[in-house]
Amino acid sequence: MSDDVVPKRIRLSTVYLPVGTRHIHCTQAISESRALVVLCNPLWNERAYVSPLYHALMKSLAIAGFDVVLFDWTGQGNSSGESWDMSADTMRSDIDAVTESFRPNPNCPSVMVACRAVALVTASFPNATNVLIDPIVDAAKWFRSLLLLERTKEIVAYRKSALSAAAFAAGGDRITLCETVIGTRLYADLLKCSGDFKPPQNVVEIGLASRAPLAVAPDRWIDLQAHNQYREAIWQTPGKITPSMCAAVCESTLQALDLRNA
Amino acid sequence: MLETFVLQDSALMQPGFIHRPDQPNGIAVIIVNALHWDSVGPGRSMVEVCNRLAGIGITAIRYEPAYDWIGAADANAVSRQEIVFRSLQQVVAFTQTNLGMQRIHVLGYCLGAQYAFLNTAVHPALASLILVEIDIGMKVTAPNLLSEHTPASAQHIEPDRRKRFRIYLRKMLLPETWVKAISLRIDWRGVLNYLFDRRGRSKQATGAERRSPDCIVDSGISSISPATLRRGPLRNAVVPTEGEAEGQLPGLTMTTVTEHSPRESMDAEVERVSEMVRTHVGRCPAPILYFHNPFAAHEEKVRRMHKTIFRDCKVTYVDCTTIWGSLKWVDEIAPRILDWCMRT
Repeated sequence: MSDDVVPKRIRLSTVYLPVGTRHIHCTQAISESRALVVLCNPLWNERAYVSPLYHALMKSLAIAGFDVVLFDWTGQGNSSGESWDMSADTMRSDIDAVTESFRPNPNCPSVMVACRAVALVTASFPNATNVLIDPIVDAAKWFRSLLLLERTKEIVAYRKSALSAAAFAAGGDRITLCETVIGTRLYADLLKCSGDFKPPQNVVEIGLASRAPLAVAPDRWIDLQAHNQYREAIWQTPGKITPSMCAAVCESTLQALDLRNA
Repeated sequence: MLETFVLQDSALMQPGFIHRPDQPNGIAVIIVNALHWDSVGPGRSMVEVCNRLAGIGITAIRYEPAYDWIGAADANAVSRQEIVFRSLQQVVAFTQTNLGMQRIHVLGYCLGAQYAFLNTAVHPALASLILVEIDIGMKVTAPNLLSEHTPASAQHIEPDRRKRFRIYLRKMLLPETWVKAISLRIDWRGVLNYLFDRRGRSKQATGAERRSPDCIVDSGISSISPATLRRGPLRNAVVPTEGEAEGQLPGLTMTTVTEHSPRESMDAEVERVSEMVRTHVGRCPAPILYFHNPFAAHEEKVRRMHKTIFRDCKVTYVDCTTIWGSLKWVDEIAPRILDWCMRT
């Protein structure tokens, strides 16, 4: 086996970051500190689907000299709490805490890479630099798609909500169901973010041209479908991460930094 | 109590989690996840499993094999299988050395079960294997070691029609089936096709095509040059494409052989995998506890395949009554795992 697969300058660490009474699980790759890239996991099961991309991305960005931190939101993944503890406020405070804690120095630029509905929250940060991967800007539509994709079924099956299970079994009202499963606060918050959504500054978006109505009028646009790499949505095809796709996200991160400096 | 750790060497860095019990009983269970999932699992189910095991005195360890650094340097230096095996060995060594555990059991899910099974055959230092719905190549979702082993036997393992009816009759007695029927989530055409063998021939053809040796295991990010990434400000650069590249695992793609993929390296990789399977299938020295998922597709087929894959192995089967990964399922398997670990 080769001895030089992992560059020696790169160091990986995991940490539970205390934020108030909560603990956020962060995985950090420390490299040359060209910039801090904050990888924001998507929500619920989309997290697992995007996980391979984020892992590959973490490697590529670290090799390119960026410090990278990947974290779980409060109530998600390995962090503390339950999904009904979440709200837009907790998500914002999570981002603030992670960015401030892992920024190597105050002048180091940072980029947030967000996927799906999380983009609604990251894009609302003033003066932030964003890379958005197939962002959701219509939360209501997304909630409906959760059911259509049978994601809700999984959530209901795995979580402790008897009410959700009953609603699901009865084939009840979809919005009520989503609200029950996801948690009233976050549900309402994301709908509000969706209604208040303004195209952010300094954003590179990656996605499908066919989904252009969902696009957020980015400063840069990379259409992966045009490059024959993104034939299916990544959250529906776990592990379907091509080298080119990873390279595209890396390049978009560099573009985002370029935008910020311009 | 939840702790984190990171194992790092020249080829991989993998973070992991230790779920420590308040009153440890000296038993450790290492979770090998399905690789295309992370260690959290669908709906955080693996976190729940570990918490539940820790609650009954078992030290549970999860880790992230997806964090390997394959492809960061020479793509041909290592194979995916070596990395996956090596990462499990490292976690086992870590558990023995740093945690002082001597009775180590491995719990593998799906494709992770397959890797755990083959790895244990190579390194028989483990007390037992606990497998959940082992991936034996019924559908190509990931590079599958056992599928290399199955083409010859796969053609005669389709259950006959009477058994298929029996399977569906049993399913009709389950409340979950009726919930699915009421919510219009049953593919009736698919059921009829399966029951009356309408797709048998085309399926076999597809299977043969899928198992064609014309594929190569390639590392995922091998084509990304650090120099490319460092070339400074970029405009909407055209991203180089991979042609028909199809990603199958984190950090890994199954690439159809083209003029860009040297035939020689493909042959070497396929031969290496085939040899490993030929050598190790059926020779697992550790006893196996196997949890059947009554809701799995091809359940009957899987049971028949086990006769080949687990030949000469000591296997104890447990039929679960709840959906894989649900909290009820976690409640169901946790005491059985404790009982099994205490006995083996």
